[in-house]
Amino acid sequence: MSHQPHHHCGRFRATPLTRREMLSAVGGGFGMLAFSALFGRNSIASSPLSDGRALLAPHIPARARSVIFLYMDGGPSQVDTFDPKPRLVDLDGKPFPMALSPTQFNNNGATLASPWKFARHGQSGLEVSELFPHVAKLSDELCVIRSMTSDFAEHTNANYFLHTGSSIAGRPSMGAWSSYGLGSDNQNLPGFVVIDGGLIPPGGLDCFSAGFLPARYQGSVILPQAEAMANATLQESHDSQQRKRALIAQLDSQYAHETNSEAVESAIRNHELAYRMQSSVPELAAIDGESDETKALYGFEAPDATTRIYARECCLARRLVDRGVRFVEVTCPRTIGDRWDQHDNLRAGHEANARAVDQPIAALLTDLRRRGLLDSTLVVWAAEFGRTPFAQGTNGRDHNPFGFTIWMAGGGVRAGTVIGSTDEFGYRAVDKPYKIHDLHATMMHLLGVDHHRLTFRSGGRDMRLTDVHGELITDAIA
Amino acid sequence: MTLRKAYDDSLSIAKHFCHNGCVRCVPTIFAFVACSSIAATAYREEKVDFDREVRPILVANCYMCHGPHDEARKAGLRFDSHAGATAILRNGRHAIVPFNLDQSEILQRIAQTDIEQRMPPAGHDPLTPAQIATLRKWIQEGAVYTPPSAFQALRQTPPPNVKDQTWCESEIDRFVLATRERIGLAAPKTDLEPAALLRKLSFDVRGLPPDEQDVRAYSAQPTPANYHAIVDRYFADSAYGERWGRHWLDLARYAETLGHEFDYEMPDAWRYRDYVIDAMNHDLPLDQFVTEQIAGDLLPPRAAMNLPNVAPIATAWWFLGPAVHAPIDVRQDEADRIAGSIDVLGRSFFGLTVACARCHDHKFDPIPTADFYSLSGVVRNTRRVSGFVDTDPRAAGFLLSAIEAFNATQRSSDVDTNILATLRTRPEGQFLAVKAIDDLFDDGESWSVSGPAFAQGANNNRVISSPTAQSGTINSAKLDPRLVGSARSTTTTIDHRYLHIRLSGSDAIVRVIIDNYWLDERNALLFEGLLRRLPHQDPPGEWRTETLDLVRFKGERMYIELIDEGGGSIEVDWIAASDEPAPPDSESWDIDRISDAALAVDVASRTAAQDAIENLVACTAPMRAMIAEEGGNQDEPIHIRGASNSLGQAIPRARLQMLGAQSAETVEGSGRIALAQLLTDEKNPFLWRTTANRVWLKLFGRGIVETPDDFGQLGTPPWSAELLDALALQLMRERSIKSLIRTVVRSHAYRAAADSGESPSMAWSPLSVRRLDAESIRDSMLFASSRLDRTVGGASVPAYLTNHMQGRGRPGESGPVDGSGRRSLYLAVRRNFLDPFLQAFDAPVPSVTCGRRHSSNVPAQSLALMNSDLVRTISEHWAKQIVGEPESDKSRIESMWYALFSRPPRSDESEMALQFLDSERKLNSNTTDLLSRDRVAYAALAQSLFATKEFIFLR
Repeated sequence: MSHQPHHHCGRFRATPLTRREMLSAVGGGFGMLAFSALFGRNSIASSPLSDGRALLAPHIPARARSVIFLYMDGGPSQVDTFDPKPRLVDLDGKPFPMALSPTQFNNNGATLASPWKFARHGQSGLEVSELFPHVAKLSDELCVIRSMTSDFAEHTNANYFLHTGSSIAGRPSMGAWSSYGLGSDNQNLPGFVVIDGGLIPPGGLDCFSAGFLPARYQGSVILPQAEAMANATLQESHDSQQRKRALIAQLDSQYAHETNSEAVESAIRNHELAYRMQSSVPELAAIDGESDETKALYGFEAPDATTRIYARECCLARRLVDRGVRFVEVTCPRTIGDRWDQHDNLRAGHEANARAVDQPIAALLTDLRRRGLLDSTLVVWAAEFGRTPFAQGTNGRDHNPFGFTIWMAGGGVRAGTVIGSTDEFGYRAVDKPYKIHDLHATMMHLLGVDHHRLTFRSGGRDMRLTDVHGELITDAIA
Repeated sequence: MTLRKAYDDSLSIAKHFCHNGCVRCVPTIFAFVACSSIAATAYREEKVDFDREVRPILVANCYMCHGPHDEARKAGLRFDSHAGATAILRNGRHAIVPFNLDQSEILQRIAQTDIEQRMPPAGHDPLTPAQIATLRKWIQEGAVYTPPSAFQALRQTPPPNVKDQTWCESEIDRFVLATRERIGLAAPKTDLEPAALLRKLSFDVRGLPPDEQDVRAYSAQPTPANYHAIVDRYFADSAYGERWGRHWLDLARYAETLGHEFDYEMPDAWRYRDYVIDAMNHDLPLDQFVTEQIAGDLLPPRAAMNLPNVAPIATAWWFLGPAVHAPIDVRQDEADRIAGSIDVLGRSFFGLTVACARCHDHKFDPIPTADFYSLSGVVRNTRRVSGFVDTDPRAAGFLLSAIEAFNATQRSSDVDTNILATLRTRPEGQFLAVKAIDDLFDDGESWSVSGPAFAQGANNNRVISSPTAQSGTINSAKLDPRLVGSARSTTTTIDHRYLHIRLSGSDAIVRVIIDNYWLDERNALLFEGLLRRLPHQDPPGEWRTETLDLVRFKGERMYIELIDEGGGSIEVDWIAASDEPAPPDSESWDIDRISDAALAVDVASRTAAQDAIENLVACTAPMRAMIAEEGGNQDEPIHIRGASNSLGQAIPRARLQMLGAQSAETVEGSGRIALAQLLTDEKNPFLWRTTANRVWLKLFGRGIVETPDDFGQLGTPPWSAELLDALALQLMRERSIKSLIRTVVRSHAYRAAADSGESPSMAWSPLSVRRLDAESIRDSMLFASSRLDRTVGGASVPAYLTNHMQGRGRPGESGPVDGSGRRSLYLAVRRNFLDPFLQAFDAPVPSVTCGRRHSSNVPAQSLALMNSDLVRTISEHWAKQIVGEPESDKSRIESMWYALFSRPPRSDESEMALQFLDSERKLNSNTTDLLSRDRVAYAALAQSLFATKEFIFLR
């Protein structure tokens, strides 16, 4: 290496330092972690850790090893699920008493009380509506945040924001950041997996993009079916592929010798990983081999087809984290109600969506817990925004980014708690309002990552998931 | 100084400097503080570099009150220029006296412990000791303000003397060898084998492998003359424009859909792609190419692509970004769209992150916020229109004669003139707040038109004089109902709730465009009723009033657009704005009261012009294309901290402070012509330098500046500024990208082979291997299998959709698995359904300028090569071709090796392949059909070879 003293800032601009030199330059301590974060791509490119991690070790003790992100496409209504508002009943059908911000459809009707009853559950006495009878039984596992907010009232912007911390396309998804920072504990599967139940969120696959991070961190979409991942199913006999593999290996080893190039060597290693994935992915997807009891728990044979789809998704999610995958996102199946986006027919739509996910989510929490995985898995239930407490038209609700509910469970989460509140109508967060950046910061914290310090140089800036924002939701951390 | 401290310092710098939460610069500031301080302690003997060490400190700590903002400036002191920093202050002292530490007041103030006296003042963090030390040293050394390297003028440097003269064949060679000798390296010892060189050249110039016979011939006689002849042949191949056009499309974030939720199509986007290919193939001078992107609609016609005027198509460049449907705040949405365009403009043409100046002056590069809004004004006064471009070279002439003949007959009609005289006497004050068309739209005199239907006076896409003057109406059927075209009013501010449009017509469109938002044509949510399609009417003559409710858009800017796509007609008499939902009573001044009489005259007199009109109609119809059009001349105010609802001082259009002093003359129209002049001005180094670097990067896999889209402070410095400027100067003299590529590929450096294990960062060094880009991999598979369709241009091949490509906006049908054999740049680029094969090999996501692609290494690549429908289909096709020729296995294998690796197989490789074929055949020995057994064996061999590393890498 040609580290030239007179280019004192060269270490920042290019890649003149080896890892060893960097360590000696800063004298350990704070050094390595900061440098690998600071130098982002450079340090990785020059000397990749075998699993692609940017961090040699977590910044802080990790409370969770994996994340399962249950994405509630379209935005469930907070006042109909986890944030009861009796005042809405008093004013039902009457003009909504608060000043309104512009909404997506600008067709704002009267105050609309929740059609569903709330009851207290568990020792924590958490109030859950009758939309979620199964999840309600696990109330003592949940940490409900009733004061989440978003900056965007429109699906796509809000979705990019929820997934990437930025409202525009092309930024890395939180799953990509997680696997960039921490790598994967399973070298035969990608670190970031999206289970597609049938509804890719508005904004499309960009929600799961690696953005400016190297492509290896992008979300791999798998389907809850036999052919789970594109091109990962062997298309020929095992023998046939072995012969090809042998021929390729012979030709490649000669080329690797001639070129003496790390790029070629690593492409060869990668080919072997791909080869292994042809076994690991079908093995992962073989969920029908689960016990009858487990299948019944999730709802494999539930009367509703969408419940059956989501049951398989949740079961796959557990299998993924069981195999060490870092970040799993689960998207919703297509129900009659066009996801949770009930601009009209709130009752029918929310019931259909809740029916699809309630039993499988409860089963997932139960199954993780009994297998000892819940302590090391952070489960997050969230949408891009909530819904208005007043009607859109007569029987729908419009988008509401000003105050809505999400919940977390599992590794490092303070279970059986409620954090923050909205006003008496459930319209705006009033106590402890939090931002999506805060959610991201907290999720990263539980994974052992200081969100300030996991960065990647792109377009002249050291970028991070939380941009320049993000405060920990300390009340949510056990 | 510890790094922990450096980090804390950066945090506080960023916290107190950035108001808007754009403290996103923390990590970068951190890096600077850290590096500056390491520098300050470790390398005392070096002079302080103003650009890299001092400017960041001044920007972050002083500029807020002592920077370029006139309004914010305190005590009349400014640190953004040498003159300002050394000027005499009100107290008679000087903030900085070069070489004099005692008299430089700044040093006393920043070191003050008394917080009342200290600078930066209370509420802001003090400078760190390291920062203070840096400033002291800088002043001691003379307080020199050097412009950042990206801003320095191009400099001609004589090629340096080198020890190893024999290695050098060109100036380039002397420059690159000098960088090596400086760090003690000799010239590369070996050159690439002729076959490997030809393979590299062919992929670099054409994106395709060389033909077998070329490889054989050149390997036999690798003379310079033969090499030069092949270079010239490759330049003449249309594949050159496809290859280098694709590089440009990476910068332009080219796509054919709008992304976002529904991924709506941009139906005419591919015409831009074809324009770019054509421009590259014709080696359009760089300055002209750039000018056409910016303002092709305003230039004299340039014929190409069998079109009489191709230049307007280039302006689609402005509009290739994604778009949002149903924005709740349409003004903010426009500001975001503009910022996207400016980002692409800044990175592509300046190699600078100009868009960073949207909320605050650029933290590291001397780009004030004012410059961002100077560019904003240009974009905001530019409209995106679905225009009509002439396809028939005769059309313009015929149109002119038709108009002349028509006008001549009109002038002879007294009756017409009399009637018009009464028509134009419109009452005043009859209807509160009514503004008739004459007031609303600049006397109705300056509607701009595209296509012949509305054009009674001038060329395509030109503002014409007075389309209403003759009849008092705007009429798409005035010359002939068969003509197509569109007309647009000037831009006005919405100050009344209702807009009443008096019109008649059939099968045509009238619409209002607010803040240049046009996506309501695909999704009307939040913009209901602003686009009216006139239903079919026979005859179309009945007059009526369309009333549009603009209640949500008061205060926004708007214009009116009339579109006749042929077969219909639209005529507008008047347009009035009012706060009443009912249209004004216009009986006394409506044209329909007397239109029969007027039209009778028109029709009778028109026959004389009929021949000319028939000629015009017989021409090939104009084609639709997404193009730019002028949309006003208003300066844009600064959006304070980037908020579109918080406006500051208006900034003149196309006047960039970052380029130094400029003429104070007001620019014309949007200012796009003026902007193009700035970009291509020989005084400004950016275009030449960044483009020269892009050419080098594509030919060597590594730029002279390694961050091609950021030459600013956060980019990497060039490893040879002298070489970069030499190349840039050649480009500026010749304006020819082809010529620059020729110069580079003729250098010895281009032929040099890598020395094992060598990778110096501040010197030139050949790479040992370079992975082919996504398109080259797919295209050369098609090429090898004889499946490649070399047709140039045309509408894109629909995307092939796999089961795993789901989501909103998914096309109803999948395209063909092998894209009908077309080159990869002709596959539809759908933002939400990007081709998974190309994506796996790092084809860019079209959201921002991408001057350098990743070269990643992911399992999806190998999985695609092993199991994808695409590779299997091509392998089978190739096998069919192979067994169709009566050749021996041995010679077939040889051809396959040439097709994929541009070399013959070594004997052991040939043996391996033969054994492989044999065992494949044995496996299928129960198949009686020998031909199909052979086919299976060869398909397996083909697919194996596609998966070898030698295939996807270049030497």
